[in-house]
Amino acid sequence: MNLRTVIRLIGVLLGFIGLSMSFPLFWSLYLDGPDAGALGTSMAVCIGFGGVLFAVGWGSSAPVLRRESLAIVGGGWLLAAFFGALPFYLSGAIPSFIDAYFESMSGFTTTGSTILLDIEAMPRGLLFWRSFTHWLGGMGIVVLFVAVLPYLRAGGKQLFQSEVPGPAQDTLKPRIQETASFLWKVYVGLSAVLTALLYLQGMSFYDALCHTFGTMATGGFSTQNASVGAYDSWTIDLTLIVFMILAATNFGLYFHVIRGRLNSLLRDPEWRFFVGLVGLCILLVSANLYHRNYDSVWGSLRYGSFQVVSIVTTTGFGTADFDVWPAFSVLILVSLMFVGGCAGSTGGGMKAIRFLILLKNAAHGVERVFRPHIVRTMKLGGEPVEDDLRDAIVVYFSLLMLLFLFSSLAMAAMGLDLLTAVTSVATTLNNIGPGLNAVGPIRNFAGIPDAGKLLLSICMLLGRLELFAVLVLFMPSFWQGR
Amino acid sequence: MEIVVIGAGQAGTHIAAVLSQEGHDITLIDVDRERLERASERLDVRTLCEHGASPQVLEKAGAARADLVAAVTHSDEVNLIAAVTARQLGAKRTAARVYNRAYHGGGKIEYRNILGIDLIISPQTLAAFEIAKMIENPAAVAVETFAQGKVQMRQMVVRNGTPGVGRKIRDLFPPGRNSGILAVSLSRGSTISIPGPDDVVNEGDRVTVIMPSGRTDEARKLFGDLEKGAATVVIAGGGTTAMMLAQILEARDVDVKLIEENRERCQALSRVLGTTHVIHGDASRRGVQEEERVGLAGAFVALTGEDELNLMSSLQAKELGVRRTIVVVNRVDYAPLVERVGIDHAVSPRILTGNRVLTLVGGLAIESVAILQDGKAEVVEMTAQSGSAVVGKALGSGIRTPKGSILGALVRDDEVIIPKGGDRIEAEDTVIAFALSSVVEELGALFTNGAN
Repeated sequence: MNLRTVIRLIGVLLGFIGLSMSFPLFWSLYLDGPDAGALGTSMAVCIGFGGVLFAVGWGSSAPVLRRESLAIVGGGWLLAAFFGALPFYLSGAIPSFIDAYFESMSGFTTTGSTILLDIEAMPRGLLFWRSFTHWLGGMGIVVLFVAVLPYLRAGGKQLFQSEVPGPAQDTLKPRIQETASFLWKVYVGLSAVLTALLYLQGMSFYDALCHTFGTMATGGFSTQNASVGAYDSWTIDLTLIVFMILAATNFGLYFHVIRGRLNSLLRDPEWRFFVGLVGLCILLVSANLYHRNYDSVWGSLRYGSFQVVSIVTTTGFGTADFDVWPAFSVLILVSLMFVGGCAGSTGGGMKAIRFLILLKNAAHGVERVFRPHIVRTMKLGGEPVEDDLRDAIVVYFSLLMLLFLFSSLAMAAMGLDLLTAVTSVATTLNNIGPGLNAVGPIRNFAGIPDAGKLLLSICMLLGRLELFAVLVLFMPSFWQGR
Repeated sequence: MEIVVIGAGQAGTHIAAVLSQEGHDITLIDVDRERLERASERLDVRTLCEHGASPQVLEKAGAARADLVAAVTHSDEVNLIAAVTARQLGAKRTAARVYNRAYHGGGKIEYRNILGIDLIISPQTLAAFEIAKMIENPAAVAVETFAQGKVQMRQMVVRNGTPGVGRKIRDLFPPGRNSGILAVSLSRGSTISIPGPDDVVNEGDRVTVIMPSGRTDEARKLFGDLEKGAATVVIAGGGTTAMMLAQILEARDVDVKLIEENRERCQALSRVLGTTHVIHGDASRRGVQEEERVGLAGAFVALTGEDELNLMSSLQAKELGVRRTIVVVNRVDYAPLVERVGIDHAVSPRILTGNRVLTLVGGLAIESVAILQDGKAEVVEMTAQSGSAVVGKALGSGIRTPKGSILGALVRDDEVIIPKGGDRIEAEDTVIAFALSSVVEELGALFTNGAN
């Protein structure tokens, strides 16, 4: 492990975070808000500290290998959330630093869980920063700096793989820097379109921008206490449903779509599975809601589909309180939390492709009982799935389940009720936002004990970085020797 | 014609044997003196014990004047280089046997065009397609299609108690265009002849008919050739032929089980194949065959590299009740024995290779050929070249086809015409004809423009 390289690059990363605070600072100055001082100070501290780290690591020319990249991504995210919390804390808008850290981590990891009781009372600059962290964390801060920094070369590839969600991606272009910048360009492009659409449907430019950040990053922070429900507009609901799905689609596929191969989207086995599953769940939930919660088919479909899409894409926007829905619908939503979006998207959760491979693996396992001598290669869309990948996914799933179990136990030990304990972990581990009961869609995380908030913050990071980049930081052997 | 054959293995010897019987002048080249001596004991051919890809050797063998140079040594590279060299020296036609699929080209690259080789033969592909055809047409002895699938030739065994038994050719296939089916040959025992209208069809005879592809059902009903293709097939062995066969059958929605002994090979196969069930095991073992329910399958195909193993595992499968067994034999002399002990079909990739090469002989007008009864007769597809002897002439009066040949079908502008006396042949008509091997060349010459 070459610590100096790690420190230098984390310094650069913090510099990026500091610079990005200039956007909320601009809003604050423009509106002459009370939070300009806090934002300015945080920006200076962040850039200053980044500069110090950069200076400490200066002159190190060791390459970024696997360990370095894991340390940069894992350590970088922990620190990013720390500095991202400063504006909330320094302005006094969130008096407890642990609360501020939770909020900041929830932003960067695109979770969207909040401890704020009255969102609308927050100064505009801070609220903008809160949504902006979503947008930065969605496509990935490390991916952004791989896209921008020219000198990373092969190290960039390691960093890229450590942050982009889902099993290893094909790189779209020969150079990783070009791949990363392509992904960011698509991300920015889709975001611009969505902002325009929301603005045209009557949102203020500020709200349109903040909701775009929440949607494209599949985050879920809103500027309204009642979330998207506050607008009560079916066109906005529909626009967001479409863009949540677009954001939860593998961005690599857009590379082919832009080149004119539209059917590469329809032929992608993961995307087909994902869209099929979403469609099925919308039908089931809407049918379940009809007559029980909504009198019209139209209403059941509208609220059913929005909630299903919001949860499966791991966004977490709300237009209805699903806590009061029948158990069948609620259970579908909780199960969908673990499925999540597609690999290579901004969505969280386990990812549809992992779920698909686990299903196939289970089917093959059952077949092997009565056909012990059969040799079968698992295939997705006609392409073989390597055994290594399959094994890694089984490991991933077991780890996820263990972490889910132990974290839920810990939350219960802190005195939370069963539903709250279990769903608070499920929702943070999968980067969704709302849970059930005390952390339900119209409630928030303010009532969770401090230790619980810290644990859930770690869960969010585990979820966003897909376990490994965080877990290795706790392995002594990771830090020792070469 | 002058023909150079490089490689005196089983395919090379088969080519040399058939062609020298037909009266061609053959030069056989091989580096192995013993093999050459064995060949020259039985065949009236000239032999050269040298490296067949060498330009000097090829020149000495007369490749420059040769009508056909066929390279069928065991080495793909030698075959390719020998064929290219012969072409450069001036050989009219060249053929090379190539096992490795990497050399078969694909996409935009046709090695045939780049290298100037007329025929690149893949024995595995030939065998796979041949077996697939047998599986699909279980009762027919031979099936071949011509003119892009518009015309079918079918050789069938006359079964006991079927409508055709004991009837005259005249009654079975009344002359005139409406019948659309023409009987071109009748084999009894080892003799093969063109049937006259008064010949009677007996049980056990083999009848060859030529007909438009849409009318095959009528002809099949006459002789009890009604069995449908197998819906489930078990393949023993996982070589290239097996893999290609599985792919062909998969595309026809046949349920395929492939049993292979090597685990790594199994894994490689399961990556390439789609719906095929790849089973790791020894296909010759009764236990494995019972577990995989071979007895319930429609066909069992033994494709391992060992003839003896293929034979034993097929007999085992037959014992368990499989409907049909097909065995690949590498040793040509085993083929008749295998069929005698109750195996339904023996397929020899070497004979298939030889037959494919033989399609190149017979003049430029001939496009493709089906070989019947060990090369005694052929069904050929020809294009009437403008300026050739037959163009503009009427059948019966104007055109005298050689004795032992008969024109079976004409294809003109996508329309299939069963010819009768008085029809005229136009330039660029495709003609499908039956001919005894001894007169194939003479027939081909009628359709070829002498100036070419």
